Amino acid sequence: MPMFNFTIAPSAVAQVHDALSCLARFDENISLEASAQELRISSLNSSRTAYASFIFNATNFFDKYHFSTSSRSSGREPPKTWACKLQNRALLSIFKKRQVDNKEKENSVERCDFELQAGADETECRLVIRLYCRFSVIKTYRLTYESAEVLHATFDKQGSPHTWTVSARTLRDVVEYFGPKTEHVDWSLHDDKVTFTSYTDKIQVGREIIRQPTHTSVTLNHQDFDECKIEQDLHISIPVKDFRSIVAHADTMKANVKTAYSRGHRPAQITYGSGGLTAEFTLMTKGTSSTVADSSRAATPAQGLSVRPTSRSTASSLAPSALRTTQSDVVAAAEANGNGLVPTPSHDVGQPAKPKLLNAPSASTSAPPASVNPDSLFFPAAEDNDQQWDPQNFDDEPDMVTWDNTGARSFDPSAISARRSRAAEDGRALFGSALEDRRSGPFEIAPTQRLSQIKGIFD
Amino acid sequence: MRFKSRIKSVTIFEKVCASLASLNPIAWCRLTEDDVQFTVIPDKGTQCWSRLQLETIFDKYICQSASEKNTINLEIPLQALSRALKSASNATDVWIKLTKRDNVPMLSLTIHSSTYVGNNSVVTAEPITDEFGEFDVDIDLNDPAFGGAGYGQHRERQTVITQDIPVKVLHPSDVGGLHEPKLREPDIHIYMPGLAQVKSISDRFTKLATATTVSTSAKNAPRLEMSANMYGALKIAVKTDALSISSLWTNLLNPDLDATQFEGGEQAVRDHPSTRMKELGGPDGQNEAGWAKVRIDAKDWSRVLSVGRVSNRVIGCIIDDMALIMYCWIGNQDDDEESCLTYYISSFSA
Repeated sequence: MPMFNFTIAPSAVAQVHDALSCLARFDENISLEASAQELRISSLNSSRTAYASFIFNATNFFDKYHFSTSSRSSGREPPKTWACKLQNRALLSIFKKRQVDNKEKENSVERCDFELQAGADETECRLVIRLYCRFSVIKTYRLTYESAEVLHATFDKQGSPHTWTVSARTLRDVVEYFGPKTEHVDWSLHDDKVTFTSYTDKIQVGREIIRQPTHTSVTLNHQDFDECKIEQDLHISIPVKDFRSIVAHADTMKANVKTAYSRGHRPAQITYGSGGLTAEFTLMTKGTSSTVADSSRAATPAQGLSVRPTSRSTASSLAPSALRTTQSDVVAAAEANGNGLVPTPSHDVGQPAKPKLLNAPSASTSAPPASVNPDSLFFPAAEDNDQQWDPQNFDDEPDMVTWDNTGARSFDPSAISARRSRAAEDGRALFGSALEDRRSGPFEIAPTQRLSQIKGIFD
Repeated sequence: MRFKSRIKSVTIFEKVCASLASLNPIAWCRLTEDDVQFTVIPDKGTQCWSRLQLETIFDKYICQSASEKNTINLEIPLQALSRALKSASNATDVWIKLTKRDNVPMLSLTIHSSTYVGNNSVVTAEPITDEFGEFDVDIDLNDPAFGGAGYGQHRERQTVITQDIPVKVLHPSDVGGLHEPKLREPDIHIYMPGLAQVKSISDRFTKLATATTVSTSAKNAPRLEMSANMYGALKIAVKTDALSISSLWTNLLNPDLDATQFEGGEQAVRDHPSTRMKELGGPDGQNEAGWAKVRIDAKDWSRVLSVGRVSNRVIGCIIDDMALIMYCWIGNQDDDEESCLTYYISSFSA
């Protein structure tokens, strides 16, 4: 049975959170794969056109990391990796950003332990995550998981001669110009200038034509790139939604983003990393002819993005896929039995089972429609006091009226209680104690009862 | 048909579009050799007719067509245009032109922007102006004595952005039937108080009215009462079954009528409804008869007040029980020909 546990610092918890929320934009499930060298968290989207993975290096990223397998169970060679699948939601709710950000808050995390309980003597297999917070509060989460065959996207680095590397900040500036509702981002080099274009294939007709999303192209000098070895006028495009997710995460890491590809309808790979964390995205591309405008007819089912199983989990008891999290403030010290690297047989990622080619059906055409929310997680709407001029949306806001205009959105309980008590006084004047009695019950009369209704009782 | 111009004032243009966009997603834009008009006519609610002088926004303006006065009529998506202009807010040079791509007419914005790039940090290159005039940022940042290690990697990044917004070209016959509303002379005209105040108070009243009204059917949509007199007083009020609140501004200005603007000259001013309303106000101006009142849709009003982002000189004209007309001026008061957005807000019966 594999022994697997690690400990991470608060800053790393934040990084795990960022990685998980980036993966959440690809698929709702994530796969964990642990080996002695690294922990890999990855997602493959449902149409199998995009594979996103984060590789946490065992020596650099973790405070403590231990992974070992025992060959007790049978004669055959123990597997060198352990893998499972679980819902991203479950982990995201544990690695919350605010727990790390607010250093002053009592629930801020000081340490995080992760442990796999899959020993032969255990009755049920669980992933146990303990968050050690201030004031000796310990939050323990016990997650069930599903052992699974994890698919990796294969990418032919040698066969992908075109590469460019640029800072995430530059890409973020580019992405910010893109309007909402476009589907693809295309890039190409022409006369020492690299142009990123966001566009959509959907052609509206008649009156609808002005609802077509804005077509945006951003041209950068090729000197703005750290490296730019790409063929002139070779157009290639990926879903703009994926591009945004990647750029947003890369920007949080302040990394330099490297992209490698060969040609349209073959996978492209985007990588970046720092501080023991490497991000790797393999995406199916769409080829476009020299004019982006003609792209609509260029889409053919892609063949290239293949996935292969790399590991087979050996967890003995298959936990039900339903996720159960428990939270208790058990004040108990967790065993920290992993202290760094434990020597294990060398692990060769390149070797396992023959690549099993899976055609990604209609990969390029069925790319998820880019319904990009500009107010989404990574792109907080630009702080702009111009928004004060936007019309109020009276329907969506709670019926709460507070006086403080600056904090109008914030909920102020004292305001209700003040209003309630005022209403109660008014009510008492009219009704005596009858109303008071009713108020104490669960079906209290709203303080905003209409005068016309009240008159009815008097008459 | 040809239209091309440099945009001199991106911010004003962007704010005009954003203000109009709150009324309706689509506007009719009429480009002529004299001015640019944006007209928004929603299915229901307030109309806005605006006339922008070329020099308010444009520079090197070229507009040519076979129509009279080189008129080009376009239907444009305001949100997309506003968004595209927003992306040009830090630009060094912005051009707009009418083009075609795939046989779809486009308003194409070409935005040149330059950014100073450091090590993953960016300082936008905006011309820094102080009392000594233009301060050349480039020289200092490239000076090794100034920078040291941290500044060594600074350099300028030139970016060209094009934003193509699909538009529809309208035939003159498509827009021939659209006419600006014609209304009688107003009873009251008054300089509005700061729209930020008006907006926050109106919005609060609307919230209170919504919160104290049981059903939110269209019949019960909150209405605000706005009234004013010729003695510098303006009142906004809301009444529901549960409450009655009002805010009163005093000491506002009632602009004088310019006799040269009327056909009848001085006599027309003497016969003007506002002169009568002034008399009705009594010696101290406090008489109730001197007030004119409209009842306006509160949510619609909130959308209208979006114009506060671009205009701070607003005259409200009240035709008792009929309509409120808001003239929102853009730019300097001294200009003879001014850019103006005119809102026609109709009054509801009680």
